[in-house]
Amino acid sequence: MRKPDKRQKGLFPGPATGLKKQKSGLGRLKHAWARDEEELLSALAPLKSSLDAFGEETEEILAGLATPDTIYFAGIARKALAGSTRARKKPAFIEALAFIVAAIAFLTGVLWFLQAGYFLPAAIFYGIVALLLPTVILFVPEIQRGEVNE
Amino acid sequence: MGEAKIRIKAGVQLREKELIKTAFAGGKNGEEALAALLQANYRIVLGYFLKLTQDPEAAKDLTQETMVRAIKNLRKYRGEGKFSSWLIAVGSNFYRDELRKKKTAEKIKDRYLSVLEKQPEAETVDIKRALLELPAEKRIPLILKYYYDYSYQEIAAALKIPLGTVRSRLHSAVRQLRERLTEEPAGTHRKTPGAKEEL
Repeated sequence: MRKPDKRQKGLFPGPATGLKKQKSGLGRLKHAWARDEEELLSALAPLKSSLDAFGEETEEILAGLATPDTIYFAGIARKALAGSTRARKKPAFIEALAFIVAAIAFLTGVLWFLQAGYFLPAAIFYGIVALLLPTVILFVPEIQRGEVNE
Repeated sequence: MGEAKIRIKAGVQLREKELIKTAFAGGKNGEEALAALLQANYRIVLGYFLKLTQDPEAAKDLTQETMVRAIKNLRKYRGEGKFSSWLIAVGSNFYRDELRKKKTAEKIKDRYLSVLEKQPEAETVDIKRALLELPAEKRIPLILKYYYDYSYQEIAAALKIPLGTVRSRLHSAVRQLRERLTEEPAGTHRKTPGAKEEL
């Protein structure tokens, strides 16, 4: 008995024998990039001997250069870390100062409104800020973390 | 690749991961781990800058500055690729930034001219000149592609440029190199270099 063709199992059989399955958009794109890279390498082929000779010469020069000792690298690490700690401390100080100024300004404002007799607007404003503040405190560090990871 | 080689490679990667973890933790041990990491990758970065600049002194300076910059931005390393690849990416961006600064660009241009003048009558003289005459924007992707076998995607990620730009710069670099090298027979080109770094 003749073996059944796997492609003709369903109600809607696939394309006729001999036709390849169509690639997805991403697959086609990847294929195109791969082909382009191959083209680039074949264009580089006539320069291969010169480029390889240059590469070897560079390696020879590199072999003649000594790697500094661990003390040198420890010095670089210490210096760079000290610099980055200083750089981190500065914005932290500005941030703390800005927070204090904003808090004083906010409380003074509320006090001024209450003294002037605007009890209801002050209550509404204070309420809105009290609701929004936790949201800002919660989400700002998340946004900053995302920026660092980019 | 032999089994022993694979085991050594895996061991090196494991050690690198441990060092990165310790470096992230900070403190005295963190400093030591960082120093060990930098020492382990020093020659890779130095070799890369040597290919880019063809000047050992400039390469040493750029390597040192790259390492300082890498430490300052260590938190940005997400441990996805090899640490050396990340260092090369940091170095490439640092080199481009330096070329954008007027003073440094002039210094590098002076060095570039002196390097060309000092070129001996060697077999590689033409390719060296041709590479140096390529603008940095094309030279960097070409070196990453040819000597470090980076894919288009890896170059795009390292240099933070679109994939299409990588492609066009690479093709243009190859075209320029071929034109330059097929135009003149080896060792006959003695023109005062007029090519400038494209900033």
